[in-house]
Amino acid sequence: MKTTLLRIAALAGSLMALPGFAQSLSISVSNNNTRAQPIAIVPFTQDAAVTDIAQIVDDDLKHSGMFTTLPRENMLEKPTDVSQINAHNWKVLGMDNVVIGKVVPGPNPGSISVSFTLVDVLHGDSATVITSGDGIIGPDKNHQRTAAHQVADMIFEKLTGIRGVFNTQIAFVTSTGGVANRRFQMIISDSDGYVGSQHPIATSREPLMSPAWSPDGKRLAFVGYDRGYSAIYVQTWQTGELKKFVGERGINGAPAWSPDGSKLAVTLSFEKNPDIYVIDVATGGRTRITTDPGIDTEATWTPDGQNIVFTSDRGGQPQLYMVPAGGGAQTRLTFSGTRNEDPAFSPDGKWLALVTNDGSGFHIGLMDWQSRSMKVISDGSLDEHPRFAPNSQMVIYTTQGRSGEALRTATIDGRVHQTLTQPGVQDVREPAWAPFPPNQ
Amino acid sequence: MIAQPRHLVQAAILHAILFFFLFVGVQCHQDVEPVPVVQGVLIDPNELKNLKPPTPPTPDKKPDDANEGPQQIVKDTDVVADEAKQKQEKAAAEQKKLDDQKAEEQKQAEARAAEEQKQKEEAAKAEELKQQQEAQKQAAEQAAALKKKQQEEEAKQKAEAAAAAAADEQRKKEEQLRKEAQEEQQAQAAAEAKRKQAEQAQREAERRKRAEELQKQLGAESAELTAQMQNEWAAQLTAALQQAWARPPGTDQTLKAQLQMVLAQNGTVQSAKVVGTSGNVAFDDSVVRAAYRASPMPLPRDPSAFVPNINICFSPNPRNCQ
Repeated sequence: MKTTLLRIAALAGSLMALPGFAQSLSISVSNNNTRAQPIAIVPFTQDAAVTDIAQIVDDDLKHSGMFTTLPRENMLEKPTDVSQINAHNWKVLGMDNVVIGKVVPGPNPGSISVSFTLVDVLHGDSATVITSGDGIIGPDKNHQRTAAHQVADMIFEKLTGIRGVFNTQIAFVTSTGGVANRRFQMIISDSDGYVGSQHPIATSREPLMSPAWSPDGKRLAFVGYDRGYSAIYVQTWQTGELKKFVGERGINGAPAWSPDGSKLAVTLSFEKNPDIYVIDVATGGRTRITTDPGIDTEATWTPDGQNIVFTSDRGGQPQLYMVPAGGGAQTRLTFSGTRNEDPAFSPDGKWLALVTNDGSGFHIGLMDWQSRSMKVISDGSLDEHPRFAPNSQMVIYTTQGRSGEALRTATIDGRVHQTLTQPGVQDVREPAWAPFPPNQ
Repeated sequence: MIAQPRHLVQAAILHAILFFFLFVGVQCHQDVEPVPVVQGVLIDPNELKNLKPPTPPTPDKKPDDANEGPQQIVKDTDVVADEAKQKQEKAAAEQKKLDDQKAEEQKQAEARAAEEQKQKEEAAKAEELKQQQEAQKQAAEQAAALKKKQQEEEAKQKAEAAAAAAADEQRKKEEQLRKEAQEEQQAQAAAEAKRKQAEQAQREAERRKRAEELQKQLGAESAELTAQMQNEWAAQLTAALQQAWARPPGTDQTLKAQLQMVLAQNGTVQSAKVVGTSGNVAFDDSVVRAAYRASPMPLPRDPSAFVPNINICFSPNPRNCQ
């Protein structure tokens, strides 16, 4: 299982040249395994009534796939101050870093203020402070978690060099009830899907689908039905306005914002069969991009805004194609597997996530955009609707859970998966990860 | 063709005989019986020619002598002439007639002679021309021969010059070779000296080395043993770091980082810093942490093999570190 390769280099020469011994040794260490960083999040000093901040930080880091955390019951000590940390006690447990912290009441009722210290226990005998933070506010009782996510983001970025996504939001659709009293909701929540952080922005007896965040995170486009007719709606947070953006006869679906936020690519079928259209958000000006007699849908923009990738069954089975954003020659992108559909680009442009069917089921695949090579990162057999985290390190998608559809995340190496449990909810589907908040 | 002197002599003799018979005839016919004389004189030269063998001229007698003879005879005849003047005149007339005839003959003879002479001259001329041509030819031949000779001479000179040059060259070459040989000899001598010196030095070094080895054997370890132990130790260090390190999830397989680690005598990592970055924060951090995680490092079997400075290349792919 563990394939290690070791090499010793450049020894003999210097040894023979010098009488006695060489003054320095050169060696090579090769190991193709990956390993998450071991870290211990010591319970913070806090009031028992307050949300367990340390546990949220622990979960966030663990779910990122970049860290392994030490269970509290295994800790040999629970220091509350850097001076109390005995590096040896953590080292013997294989820990590299330890986090300690403190939660005090914030300025407003129900708010909290968090301080923390990230300590290195590897270097030398004593603990070394790597970074610390204080005055991190959880604004109210329902958003105390925000402070914890912020702490997790700071630790994550300090140790990986990558911006964390714990303090971002996701949108998704839930459905509850039986056939007779089915209820659909468009939900916004913290990126961990915590129930307490959820709040619905739309509720309907008819299906709600395809949430799409505008690049500035200020608006959300999604598909709803009004008395049996579909329409694309745009919700603007600041004004609370919910506007019917386009409601043509037939299908109005799969909205996708252009990277500059000025246009929406949508699927419309009022001209007989579903095709991709680009609509100017400000003017409503409309451009038909595809005219193929097959179904063209699920548009997504390349991060440079130059092209649109979409799903089309023009070849018999759904496959991915690419077309210039202004219309033009269309080229097929996927050839492996029986079906490839529902594409989404990583914000850094390195990956194109998609749903691929190789005959063994529906999986989330990542296509290396440069080499066009594909790998599967999900572990289910009915996985669909992949969308990237804003730091391009994780993908969130819909999977078939034990009691219905659920949301699940996968690291881009496909090593760590995390299901976002939704107790009491029948189905959770079609997630969309919000961009980074502009102030962070 | 060529007028032989013999013919001239014969002609002169013939003339002499004819002249002689002019007077002898008179002497013989003193009794006045002139007629038979005339008959005897009219001799065809051709017949005369035929007569020649019975009266061959004295081989040693010169033409001058032949002329002398008749003069003597004339002198003698003068005495006799007085006595028979009439006869003589008659005879003279006869003689004149004869003489005329003779003159005519002589004229003819002379003409013939002239003709002959002319022929002779022409022949001579031709001969001369021939000789001239011959001479010219000879001269041309001579000139050609001379030229040839000159050319040969020149060629010879050239060849000689070339030979001289070659000889000079050869001499120079030989000189050079001699010089080189000399130099080589000197160099060999120098090399020999050097070699001897080196041998001496080597012997000295070997002696010293033996002494050192002896000392080492007496003391602790040989350098070889130290090297061997250092090799073993390097393998242990590599294994320890191998155990301690794995790249962070999501980092690329092509990355590599160069770490500089300083060890204390007890194997504790005193410092570890990235001296060649991978460009990835998490990756660089992972190799530093691996060093500290593996601390304290294993130690070599003997302290003499210990070195504090360890340079480590970390990479998922061993080829990246080559």
